Amino acid sequence: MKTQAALAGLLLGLAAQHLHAQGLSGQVSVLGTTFPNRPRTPELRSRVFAKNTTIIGPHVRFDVGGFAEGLLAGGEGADRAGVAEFDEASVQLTMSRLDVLAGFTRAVWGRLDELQPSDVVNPLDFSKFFYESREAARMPVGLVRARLHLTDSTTIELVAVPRFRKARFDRLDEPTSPFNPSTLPLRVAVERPSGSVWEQMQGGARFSTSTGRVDWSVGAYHGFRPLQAYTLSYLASGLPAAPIVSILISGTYPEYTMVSGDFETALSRWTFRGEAVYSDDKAIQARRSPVTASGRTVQAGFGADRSLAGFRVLGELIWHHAEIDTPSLPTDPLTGVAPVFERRSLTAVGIVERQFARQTRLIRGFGIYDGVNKNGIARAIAAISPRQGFWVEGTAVWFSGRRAGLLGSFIDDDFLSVRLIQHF
Amino acid sequence: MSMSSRILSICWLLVVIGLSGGARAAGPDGRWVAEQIRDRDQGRDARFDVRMRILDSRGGVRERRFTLMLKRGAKGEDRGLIRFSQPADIKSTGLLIWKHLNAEAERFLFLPAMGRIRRIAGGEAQENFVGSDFSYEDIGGQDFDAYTYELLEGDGTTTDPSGATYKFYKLQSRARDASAPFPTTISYVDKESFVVRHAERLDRAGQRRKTYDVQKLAKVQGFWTALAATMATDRERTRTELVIDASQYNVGLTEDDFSRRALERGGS
Repeated sequence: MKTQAALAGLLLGLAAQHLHAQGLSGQVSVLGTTFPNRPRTPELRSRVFAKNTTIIGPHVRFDVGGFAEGLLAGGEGADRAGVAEFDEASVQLTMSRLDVLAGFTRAVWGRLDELQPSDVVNPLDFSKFFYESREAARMPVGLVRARLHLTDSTTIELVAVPRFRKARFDRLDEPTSPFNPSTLPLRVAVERPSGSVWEQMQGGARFSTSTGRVDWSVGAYHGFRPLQAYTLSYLASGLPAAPIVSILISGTYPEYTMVSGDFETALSRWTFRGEAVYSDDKAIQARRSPVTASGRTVQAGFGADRSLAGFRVLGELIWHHAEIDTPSLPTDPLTGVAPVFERRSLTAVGIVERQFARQTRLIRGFGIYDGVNKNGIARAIAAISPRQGFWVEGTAVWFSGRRAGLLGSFIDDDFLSVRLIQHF
Repeated sequence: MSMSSRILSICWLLVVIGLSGGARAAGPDGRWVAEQIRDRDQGRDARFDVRMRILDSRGGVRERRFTLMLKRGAKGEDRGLIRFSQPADIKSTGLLIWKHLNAEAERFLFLPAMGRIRRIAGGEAQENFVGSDFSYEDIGGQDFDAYTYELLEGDGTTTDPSGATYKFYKLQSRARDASAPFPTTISYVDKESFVVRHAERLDRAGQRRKTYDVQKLAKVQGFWTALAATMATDRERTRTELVIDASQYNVGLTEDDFSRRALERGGS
């Protein structure tokens, strides 16, 4: 806690004293949120983020950044929490054909917006995904990335992530967060990837190039899913009066291997993007059941965007198909029947955005619809910048549809928020 | 590169006139004047530190600062890279443009928060550039053949905002794309420098919507450079002032300085 407080103090000090120092940038923000369907409301989150870049000659660059964030939640289950973390601590070495990035940082894969099946290197903070964007939600990990630039457009990229980091539903008091969908009333033993460095190692390779005006990549990655999969087991006594002796719920971060491909091209007023991922999963979670089974999944997405009457309009479709290994299919220990797995889904993403008044006003609509689970999220944002570097942003988020699938977990989490942001 | 873009971009951009070729025996026509603007000597490459002040109708001012690097390529394969240093919310954002002689330019955008380079469409060439009165096309240019050219006046004389007299060609550029918001540009091209010193952009109804003026034109390292210019939007009563704080020609920029790797490397 002392370390966190010291880091928070350092960040605040930097923000206050060196706002114009060369290489230092960041933002201070205050977010007020009310959840109409939640007892713990309203919330106030304040945050300072600062990053400093130091460039030494043409070959070496250091990036150091961090943030301090605080939470005050009112109503039933009032809460307060704080966190201060490094958000970036990396060095990048650039040579004629090779660059190496090492440290606590991010490496982005994939080309689609918001839902990117092959963007697997960094886990997400889902609260940031809902409050801000996928970019803001991506959490740094310790990694080493080497890129060999055969030509300007042809690159071989190798990424190694020696230490696993799980995804978060919220970095602030996660168990009480409105974005934590866990409904298990019990404490669960979760087993993190363990063993030797090599057994924990995640990583992959990606080859990127251009053919004409089409940029495309193929890649492969081996790692652990950043969200837990749960299984339930019990010991039976054989006695009719007390048939179950003990229940054990355990969670793991399932191992998987994937291959991926993506492309991007711009034609006249249109930009087209696509991604496809095939993965071999050691454990896939059954729907609403503490059962897992191995299997293979395919996710393929296609998107297009263009400018239309001053609006940026984007649409994406993502198709998901899972093939579960039936021979290993266990029965649900609670119900004794075969569990149900999400074998197919079709998700649509739509974004409409417009900036106007010399880019001092912004309106944005964002929606995701899951055609199989028949639920979705709609988000409307309006922002105004009354002076340079300062923004006031209002957001309304509405979840609707059936309580199924990932989005269905957030059905009660509609919210309204106002955020003040000062960039420096 | 396009006419209108040359006409506007090049003009603020600055530069020289080392015009090529002499006058035709039959006298110049619109396309010839446009070619002179396009083909004038701007050096092998150039680097400019640019300050942009955007003034709204109520007198509010916002400032943008960016570095612009340009490189002349063979057969119209020019390169351009814009990197913002201010304000903070767009700092390190970069835009890379590869022009092609007989094909649409390729554009790449790097947003530090996004963490990757995106290929972007060029169909919004006449939209405002980062909230200013200038358009993307003014800054980055379009295809020369996307416009037709007509010489409206071949022997005019007028005065610039400082009161100095100059002789000009009055050139009309018409976009082949009928859906362009500003399909017509009327330009006053300095006969000596082939820099556009005044221009008016007309909307589809033929009404003047934007007015461009060069405030300060001077030679830098022997190249004509528009060191200060403004673009005003009449209906919205906004204005953008563009000032070149530092300029340097024949820097020795290479193809690598205009690569996607360079675009990403410059971001923080």
